[in-house]
Amino acid sequence: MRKRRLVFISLLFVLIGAVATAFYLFFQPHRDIKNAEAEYVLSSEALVAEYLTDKAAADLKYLDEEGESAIVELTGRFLSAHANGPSTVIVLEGVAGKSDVHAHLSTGETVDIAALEGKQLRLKGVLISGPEFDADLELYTPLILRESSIIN
Amino acid sequence: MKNSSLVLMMVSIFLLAFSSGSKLQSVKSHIAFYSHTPLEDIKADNYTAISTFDTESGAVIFSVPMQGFMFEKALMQKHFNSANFLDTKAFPKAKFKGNVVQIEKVDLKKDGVYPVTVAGELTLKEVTKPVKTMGELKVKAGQLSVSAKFPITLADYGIVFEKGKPASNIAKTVEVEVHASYDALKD
Repeated sequence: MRKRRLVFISLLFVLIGAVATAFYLFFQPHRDIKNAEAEYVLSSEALVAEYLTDKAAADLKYLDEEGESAIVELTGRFLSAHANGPSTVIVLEGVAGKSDVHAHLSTGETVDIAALEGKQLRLKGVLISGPEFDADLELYTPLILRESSIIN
Repeated sequence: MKNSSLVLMMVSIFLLAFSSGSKLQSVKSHIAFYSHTPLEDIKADNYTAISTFDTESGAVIFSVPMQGFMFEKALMQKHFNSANFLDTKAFPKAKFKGNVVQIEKVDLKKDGVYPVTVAGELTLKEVTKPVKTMGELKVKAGQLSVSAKFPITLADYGIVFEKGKPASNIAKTVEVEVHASYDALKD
């Protein structure tokens, strides 16, 4: 009788554990990019140049199989900004005449664009797309970061 | 040799100037997809696509970074990017290449909303399939925007789930909505 009770309690714990794990996996939060440490710290020009030299190698280095791609911290010259959907996009200089960096700020991230004019900016975000020459578009596509935030 | 290089360069510059004359660019886009099953409704949004639109030929192109799709649930986002689904590390971009049918019948110099047919090809995971749908061109104060909606059957692009999650939670056919605003139209 006591043994049967022990088995029952053990099974109950296993069941609770399994349900809790499934619940956590299903509702697991997104990465907190703003408070996470950047995996790579470099200039916007260096990162764009690295991609333009060998895109396949750069994709292998920075992109993740489950979309949790590298968090990069970039320093570069502020060129412009525009609104797009729920966020602002900051454009940093990459390789002149080719590709720049488009950093999509996290929703709710506010920025005083006038104060950024002509400045060197340091920002952080998730690298989701590398630059390349697209023959169909007939232009160089930008390097794109999402969930970005300005450091200073 | 020097002369032929110079001529080639001048021809290239002329062709580039000529070909880009009617081509507008967009970095302000929104692509969303919706999946409905009895178990779950899923929506993802992507604001990172780059597009061009040729106002003379009607050619419209979208290059879509696949890791730009954001989901409410982190787990769903991981499934979407994984090797079993869109494999976005190996295939980081999707592309649509198409045409607005009979663009010459649309007066882009006049403000208005113009229903159009868009026909082209969508490439996902290196599989290319034809797409034809109704869309809308909108001109307002010299600004052009396009909108369209069409279904995608995932199996057509080799995206097939056999059993279990996420097969039970993702519809076999998902609805895609596209919107892009372009640079100002030239006179």
